[in-house]
Amino acid sequence: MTLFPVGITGGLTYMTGAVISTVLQIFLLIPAVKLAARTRKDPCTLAFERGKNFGRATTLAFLLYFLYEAFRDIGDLAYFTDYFFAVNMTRIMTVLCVVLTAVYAARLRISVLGRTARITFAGVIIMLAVIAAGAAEDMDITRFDYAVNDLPAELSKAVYAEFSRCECLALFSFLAADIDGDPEKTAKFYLIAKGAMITLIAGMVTSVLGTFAFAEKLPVFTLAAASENLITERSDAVFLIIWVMTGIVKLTTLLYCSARCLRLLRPKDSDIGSVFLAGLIPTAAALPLLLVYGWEKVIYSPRPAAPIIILGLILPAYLLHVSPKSAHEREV
Amino acid sequence: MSEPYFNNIKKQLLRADLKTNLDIINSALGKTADLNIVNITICKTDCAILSIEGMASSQLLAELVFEPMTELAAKDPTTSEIIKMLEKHSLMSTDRQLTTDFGTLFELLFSGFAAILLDGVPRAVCLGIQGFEKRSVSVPEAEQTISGARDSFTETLRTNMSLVRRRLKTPALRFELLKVGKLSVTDICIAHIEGRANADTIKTIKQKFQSIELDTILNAGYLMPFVDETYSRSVFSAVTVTERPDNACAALNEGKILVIIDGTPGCMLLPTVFADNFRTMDDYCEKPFYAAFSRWIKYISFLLAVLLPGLYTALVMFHPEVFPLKLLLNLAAAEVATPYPPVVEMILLMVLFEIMREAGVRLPRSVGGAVSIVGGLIIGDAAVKSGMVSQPLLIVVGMTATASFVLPSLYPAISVLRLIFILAGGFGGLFGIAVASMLLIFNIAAVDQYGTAFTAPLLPLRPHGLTDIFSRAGFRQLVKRHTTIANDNSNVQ
Repeated sequence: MTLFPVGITGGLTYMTGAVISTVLQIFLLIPAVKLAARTRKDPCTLAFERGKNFGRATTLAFLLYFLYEAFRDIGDLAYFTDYFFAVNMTRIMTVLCVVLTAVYAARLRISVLGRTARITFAGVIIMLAVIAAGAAEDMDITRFDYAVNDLPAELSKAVYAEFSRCECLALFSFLAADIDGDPEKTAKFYLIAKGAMITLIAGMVTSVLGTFAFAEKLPVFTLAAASENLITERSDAVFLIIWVMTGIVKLTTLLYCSARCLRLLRPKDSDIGSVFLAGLIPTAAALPLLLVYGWEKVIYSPRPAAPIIILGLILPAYLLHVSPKSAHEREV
Repeated sequence: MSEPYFNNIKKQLLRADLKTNLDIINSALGKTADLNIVNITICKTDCAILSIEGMASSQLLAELVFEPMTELAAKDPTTSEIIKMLEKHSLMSTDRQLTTDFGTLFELLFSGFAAILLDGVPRAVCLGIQGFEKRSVSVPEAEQTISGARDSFTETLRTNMSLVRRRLKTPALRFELLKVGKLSVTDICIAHIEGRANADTIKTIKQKFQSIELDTILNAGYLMPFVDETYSRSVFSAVTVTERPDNACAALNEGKILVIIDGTPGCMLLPTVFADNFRTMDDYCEKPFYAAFSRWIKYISFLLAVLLPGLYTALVMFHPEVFPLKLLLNLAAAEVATPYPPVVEMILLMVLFEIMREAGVRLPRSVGGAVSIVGGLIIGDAAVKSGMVSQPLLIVVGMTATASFVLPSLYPAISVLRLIFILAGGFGGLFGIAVASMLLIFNIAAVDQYGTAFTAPLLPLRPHGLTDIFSRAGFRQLVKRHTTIANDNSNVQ
């Protein structure tokens, strides 16, 4: 919802890429959800059971990835809030508000985060409905760019770009064991919903802004600003509220996971201590870049897909391979 | 007399010698002025009839105790015949208890029983002849309805139990009595419908009550921190207090647990969910379409009461481009004429409103009207005319205040959240509102009571419970077992 991947030029290509990427993600997540269903333990705990050093390395890998994503999330929230919205707050204050809220929430149980995420998801749908209703007059199907020079290359670029932004695979791999009921169903539902949402947003933005959408820093914001209804002149206010809320939910989940990793590495740490530390590290890393106005370098830097493949696919697949089968599976 | 000494006496057994018993009682109770001891001799047996002034009815004492005892004296009975008659053959009172220890004897005396002690018998016969002053059942004041019942709980435990029993004549309705409070020894009754309420929850609640170390229990609020598992974690409470027996019965029917406390007209219901605050008895007297409409009005009122002042402040101060041009010009003209920023105006007016509300609640009704005239007309009008506050802002405050009165059970949470949202909107604009909204959602989602999430039946989703949340379920659906809370027996008809 923040910005489209760098280097993509066509809305239709990106939408197709998002759909293919979603299908790919569903397949890639199979080992992780099967592992969770079989063991009901997160990959770090399973790795610790296989060996202390292996456990530490696995936990550290997850921790570093979560902290990196939290760092990007904090920075993006502060940067775009400062850049687009007339809020009389310094970047430090913005970061502090967001991080303290996330730290408060990351102390709670994962079920609370799940409920909050679902309420926020409902907010996203309402926001999109408001924006779409207000911008319906400006939507035009001819603005989709059908002409592509090298379709396979553009498509693979879009699939990779979308896949490299899919940090939720690593999160799912880590949290799948905490899901009530069938982790596979939940993961599929989430990924399909996310894919549908991305496709819908890209479609909406492209149908109004055309190829200019991919040159915008915050394309949905631009669309919301152009969307008017009977009550308000623009809908960017709704977008801002929901965008900040989704950002906080994501940050909270990342801090929750980071804190869990920290507690696995340092079992003596208290809950609140580990959550604070998890919040402090990415904040301390993001603040200098934000204060010297260097965050743009981070925004447009390429996002590596390797950690997602390792943490979301290879590691769970290995653990699935080495973990003993359940009695039910043996019977089958 | 020190409390430990009193506690030691309570554990002691009654003696066979009447004089010793009376000495111990007098010593333990410090010859308290409200203890009445009537000594009589029936043939050669010394008897003492004990009661507490004001707690036992003088008329019942005369009719049910003195008169039969006098008649018995005429028959010249022995001690064993007297005790046999009192314990086995007499129908002096519907509530007869035998006690062998001083602790129980004191509890019964202070609950309005008359105790008969005989010389040579190491036990007392206690007869329930309560006659203390009590308020009669009256119209509910805090939970008004248009078409619902007009009776409300009173301060008397037994009366409240009867109000529930009168509506639920099923043998599955269970009342369990407990005593809580070291000094007050308050009677508490846990009511539930067997097979519907979760047995583990009842057990847990009983354990929690039994572990309370408080000296006195004077109202439901004293018990809330002990039974509300998220009392200090959230501004919302999953334990609600009701003064309506019909509400209590509806909740019991859904598998919730009712706690009746002697001396307080507010009974506790638990576990409850957020959506329960939006349901009233009137909903079930109206057709479903109107009940659903009324329910949505309540949801909108909650959002308005919490968000509107903060949202207005944020939009006027930081995002005026959102308003249509005509409205924007009017707002700008109104705000330019006032000396303070909107956030200060809003906080001032909200605090003033809360002061007036508090004054209206505490003052007698005859004077309360004067407060609203002074507050609403004089201060409001004068504030606008003097240019201290803008007119649009006053409209917002008025709308907010009216909306907040729609949900009396959520008022404490609403009034605090409203101020938080004003501050968030005033200092952070919509960014602040978003952050505050997240805190609010986390706060609601964090409440979890005895296995029931406060956000149920929406989250976790239970479609059956959902039918009575956003609309009002029809009675054909309500015939099926329906509840908003998590329950192992939820499919039981």
